[in-house]
Amino acid sequence: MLQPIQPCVRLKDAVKTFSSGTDIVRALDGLSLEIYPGEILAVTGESGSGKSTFLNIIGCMDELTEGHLEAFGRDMTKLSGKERTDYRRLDVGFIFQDYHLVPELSALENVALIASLVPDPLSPRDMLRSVGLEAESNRLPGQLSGGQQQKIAIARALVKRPRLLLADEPTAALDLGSAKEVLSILIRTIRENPESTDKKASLVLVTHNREITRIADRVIVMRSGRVSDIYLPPDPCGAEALEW
Amino acid sequence: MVTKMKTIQWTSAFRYMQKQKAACLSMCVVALLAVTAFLGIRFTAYALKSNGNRFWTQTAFRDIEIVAPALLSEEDLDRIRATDGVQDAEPVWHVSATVSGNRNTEIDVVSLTERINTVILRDGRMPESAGECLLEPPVLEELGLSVGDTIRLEDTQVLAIHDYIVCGVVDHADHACLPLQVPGSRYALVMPDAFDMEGLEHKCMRAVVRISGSEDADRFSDHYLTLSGQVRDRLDKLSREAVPKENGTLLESFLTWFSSFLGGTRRWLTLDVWGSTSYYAIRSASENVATIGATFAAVFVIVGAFVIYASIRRMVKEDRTRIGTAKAMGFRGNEIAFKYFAAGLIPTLTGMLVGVAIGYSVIQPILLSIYGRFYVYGFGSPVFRFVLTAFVLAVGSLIAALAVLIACADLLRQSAVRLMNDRSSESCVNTFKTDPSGRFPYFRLILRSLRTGWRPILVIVVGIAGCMALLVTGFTIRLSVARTIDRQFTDVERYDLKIRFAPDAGEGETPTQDKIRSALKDAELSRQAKTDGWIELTDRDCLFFAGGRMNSGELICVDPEVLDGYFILADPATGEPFVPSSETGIYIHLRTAETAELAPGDRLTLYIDQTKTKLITVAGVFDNYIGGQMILSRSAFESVFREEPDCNCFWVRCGKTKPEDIQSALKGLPVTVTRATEKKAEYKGYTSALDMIAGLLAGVAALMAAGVLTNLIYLQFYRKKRTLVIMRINGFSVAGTMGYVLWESVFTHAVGLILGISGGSLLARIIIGLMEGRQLHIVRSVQPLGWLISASVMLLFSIFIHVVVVRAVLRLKPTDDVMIR
Ligand SMILES: Nc1ncnc2c1ncn2[C@@H]1O[C@H](COP(=O)(O)OP(=O)(O)OP(=O)(O)O)[C@@H](O)[C@H]1O
Ligand SMILES: [Mg+2]
Repeated sequence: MLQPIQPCVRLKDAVKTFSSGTDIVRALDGLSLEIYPGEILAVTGESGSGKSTFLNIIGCMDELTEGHLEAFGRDMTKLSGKERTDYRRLDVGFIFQDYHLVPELSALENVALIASLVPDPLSPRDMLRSVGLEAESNRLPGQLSGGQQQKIAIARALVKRPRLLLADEPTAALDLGSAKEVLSILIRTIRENPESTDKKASLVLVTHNREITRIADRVIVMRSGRVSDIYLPPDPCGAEALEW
Repeated sequence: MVTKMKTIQWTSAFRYMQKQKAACLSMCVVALLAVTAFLGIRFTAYALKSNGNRFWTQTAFRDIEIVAPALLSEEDLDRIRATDGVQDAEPVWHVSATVSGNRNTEIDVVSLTERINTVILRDGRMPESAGECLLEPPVLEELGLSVGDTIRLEDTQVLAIHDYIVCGVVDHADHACLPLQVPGSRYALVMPDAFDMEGLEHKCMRAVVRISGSEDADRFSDHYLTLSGQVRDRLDKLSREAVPKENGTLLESFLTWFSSFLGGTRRWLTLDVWGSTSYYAIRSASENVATIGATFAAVFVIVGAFVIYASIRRMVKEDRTRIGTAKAMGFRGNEIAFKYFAAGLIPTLTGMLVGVAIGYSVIQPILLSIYGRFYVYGFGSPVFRFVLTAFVLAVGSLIAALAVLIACADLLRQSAVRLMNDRSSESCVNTFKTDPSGRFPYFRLILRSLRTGWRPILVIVVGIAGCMALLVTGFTIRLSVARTIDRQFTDVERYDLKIRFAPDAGEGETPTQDKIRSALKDAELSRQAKTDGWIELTDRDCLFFAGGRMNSGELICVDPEVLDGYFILADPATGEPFVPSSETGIYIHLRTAETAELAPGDRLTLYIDQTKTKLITVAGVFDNYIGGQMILSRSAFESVFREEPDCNCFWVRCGKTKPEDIQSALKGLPVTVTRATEKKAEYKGYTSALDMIAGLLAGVAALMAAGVLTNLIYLQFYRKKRTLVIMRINGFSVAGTMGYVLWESVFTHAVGLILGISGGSLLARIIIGLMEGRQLHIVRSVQPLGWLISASVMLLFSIFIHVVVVRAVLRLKPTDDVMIR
């Protein structure tokens, strides 16, 4: 599966510390990792091991304390606030565990709002259709189920054609059926991307659920802010095959 | 793409405002009230001036008036006309007279002019012969006359004709204000032929002058005042120049030159518009109104800014996570802030626009109709000032924008992760867990929330203080003005009746003075008795030059010992009464001392009559509230003017006798009788406009207090929402939960009210200082009754709103995350 090409994101000796009160927490403690275009990378590990912190760092939501981050050929540690915003705006798509839709905008408007951020977005209506929620496009988030909201959130993340999709526990709040639907949309997006390899989107999927790691190309296990294990799933499969 | 983004952002912003409608409404209301009050009042201030100016343009009001006690000859007039800057001058004949009708009234008989100081005919027609006259409406009203009636004017032998047919009713340029605003006698206008021209040698008493370039001038503009001031100074210089004597000796011409060199003698007084009481009254009305408006606006702006800040602050805090999400999505700061700017600016702007409309079309007409009672032209016409309006809208928007910026700046700077983690600054939970029995460490909690969340507490305190200050200001002004009038008639003037008569009238028979005496004796009053008696004195209008300008006053000459019981002189500093003792000096009242910067020992020039002008030393200062009284003892008058003062006035204390009885006993005598109660009512009328404006503003302040308190109390409970929910979850009683928030309310209200009282009293003191005139001294002390009323209004609102909010809290379920939306 792995292709001999340049990684799109490269994290080297990353350290992120938080000071809570008197003691200092090393959320990332010398983490080094590369992400390749078109790959689905699953990140797992016990609670507090630094998964979300890792995601926030590569999504430029937070800054490194020490170490080096390079994304799409740029040294991210040297960027200004505005350049970091532009990176998130143009290159990154976030999917959160608790959706975070704009409550007073309809499903379609939520997607369209994000589409308006980039110069060449996909059609918001097509995106809703592809997540199977065309009929609900005029409903407000409060009128949708959790699974539906998460699908909107995915449509929202995908509509601007990000090069890096970051999903933090996207299915944790969903039942098996909804989770499978959500995951298969994500897989389809990565797999069916028709363009050349270096334009392919990569997905970083943080999950507690061992079963979900089966859909990934590569799995990393984190412990205490470090990679404790990297492996290729023994039998990769589609979302339909998952069971828990 | 950009437009698409804008459309969605607007959609989002509008729906957001709908959700936050309570907060938006309160911002809107505060902005509306502020602009309504400010522009309504400002427009009125402009309208008062422009209506006055229009009247004076219609009547070709004189720019300068020359009052010549020693009379003006044709040559004098020619020299005046030839003066640089003078466009035209006309002679005026003028004499005071008494007119008898259903009561006696003093009237000024004035000759009609052709081009300057003309009249507006209201009824009837202009006179066609010397036996006809025109009257001003107040005279008609007072004497119960109508066009076609005959009147008799008694004067001191200057009039050639004494009986006139009233042929018309007119407004005269000199009297833009009705007696309610500017008391004093009004005019009977006659043709110059009605005066005894032979006896006067064709010399006139006054001249009215127009200056070049004043046709379309705004008489209230600085430009006009400078222009007319220059001409006034030139004419004043002319009045001091020696009159070349035709056959004078060298010594005589040297003496005249020498006296003009000393600058001592003026042949006439030169008055510009400031010398017109109507001008002074309109100008000070306009300025008083503007000052009150501006002062209130300053407080409105502060409170308004805080309300916007508080509202937006609450919104952004509520939206922490959403802001974080937007950041994660790559929205820029300005794109995120857009919604909050919309939520802050749109209601403010809407409120301000509605405020402009209400200010123009409701407040201004109300104020103008209050003031309309004072002017001969009544209501006048309203004024709209575009530039001022645009300026107010711009400044208002700018302040609102700043308030929003400050409210959301720090959250916009925080990193996305931190915002999404939603760590609230409120972390009092552990404190509760330690003692769930119901005993609260209230004091510790309040201290803690002061330390951790001082900003919202400051906002609440400032909001309460601002509204309170406005209320206190409004009520203090009302009370001070009312007390001023009361004090004038209890602490200063104690007599019940004032009887004025012409000293030389009734020659040949028993003098009027004796007839009055016997009428008073018949009423069982005795001369100089303290509670039921009378005193005799000289009470006349005078002019004096001090502080670089001409001032008018009321000169009272009396034996100091008899004043006690009739007119109390008190030391302004100590309030202690004293008896005037100086043999040579004059006693002036506090406002004269203040406005003309005079202190005991200083000298002023007193003009009491046609030819009597003297430098006189100030002997002392006394407390007086309304009027321009100056007191000179009879002996001081004699030593200064080298003659005895004429007695022309009685002050009477009625004791048990009814004032009406004395009035009817005096009927038929050539005297004018004024009752203190009438004078008091007159002053009440005079101050009623200010009173109403202060009341109106207090009303607006109360409305605003309702809006602001609602907003702030909700804010306070919103801040505590999480804590309240957790307290309930942890099993705290309802009372305990309430106690926590209510103690904070007690604290914020106590501090807010105290600050408001101090601020309001200070504001009121400033406004009162600006409202005081040369003859008006307003009670300056604080008004605890005003504090009490204001505090009651505030607490009443506050308790009501608290009840509403507390009920919402009582319905709070432990699962409720959101208590107040
Ligand atoms: N803002 C912060 N301030 C202080 N400590 C933090 C902060 N964010 C994270 N941490 C700490 O950093 C460590 C890693 O946190 P992180 O959220 O990355 O864990 P995680 O692997 O995502 O856990 P979970 O599976 O529970 O989501 C934890 O010990 C956490 O307490
Ligand atoms: Mg996590």
